[in-house]
Amino acid sequence: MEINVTEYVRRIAVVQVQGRVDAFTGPMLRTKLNYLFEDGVLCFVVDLQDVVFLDSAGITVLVSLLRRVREVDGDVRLVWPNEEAAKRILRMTKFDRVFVIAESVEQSLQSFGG
Amino acid sequence: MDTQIPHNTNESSSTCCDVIRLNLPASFKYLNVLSATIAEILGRVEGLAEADTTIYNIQLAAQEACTNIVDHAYKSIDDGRIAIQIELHNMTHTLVIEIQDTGQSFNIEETKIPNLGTLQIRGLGLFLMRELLDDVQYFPQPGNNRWRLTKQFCTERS
Repeated sequence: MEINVTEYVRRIAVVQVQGRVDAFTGPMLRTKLNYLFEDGVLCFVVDLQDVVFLDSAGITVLVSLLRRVREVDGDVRLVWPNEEAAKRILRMTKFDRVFVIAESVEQSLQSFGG
Repeated sequence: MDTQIPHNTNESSSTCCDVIRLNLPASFKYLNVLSATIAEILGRVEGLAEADTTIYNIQLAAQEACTNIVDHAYKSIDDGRIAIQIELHNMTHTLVIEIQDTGQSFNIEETKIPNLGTLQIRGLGLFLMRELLDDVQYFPQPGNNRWRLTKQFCTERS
């Protein structure tokens, strides 16, 4: 008898973001996300719970990452911001159809099968 | 290079409005100064309805206009400035924000409409401005471009 066992470990990066995500801070977030991606992370949970302000430049950072990881069968999943107005912007721009958005980090990790 | 908002334009000369002027370096790092100013001004409106959302929406729209200026109007200019005039019209419950730059103009009609629900995000800033405000006007003139953003708000008495 021969048994071959291969275990796969999937890296998932949980990136917690606080404060404003805009044209000023967006590049810092982009740098961090790109670093993780180039380090081999293909699955991201970006936790926006403590984000108080999100503009189109901030959304662009998330969409750019999503484009890159989907090319290699990865995904970016979000956690809803607590800030109602920011939540409304994500719905208004229909990014809740582009990203899988969960209520908590745990729920988001579970959606990855973690 | 001087950047000034012209005075006495229609309602700007109204006596029943509070006028606040800012003149900021055209840099992303000062965008939150505009946000904070908008919050402070609207924080003085008694009984502002849905205050958090109203303030957030106006902050976001104004920030999108300024981001556009830094990104495009001053794309090849390092020391540009953004002149901002915020008018709080107490009688009509209206906030008017005029934003002026001395950089390159752009054709607002040529701005792409974002394909919502997809990864196509070009034109998202202008889309947000139009969705969140009652009126968005852009007056292109090389060396003197102006945005005029208007938002009517409600108070618990209105």
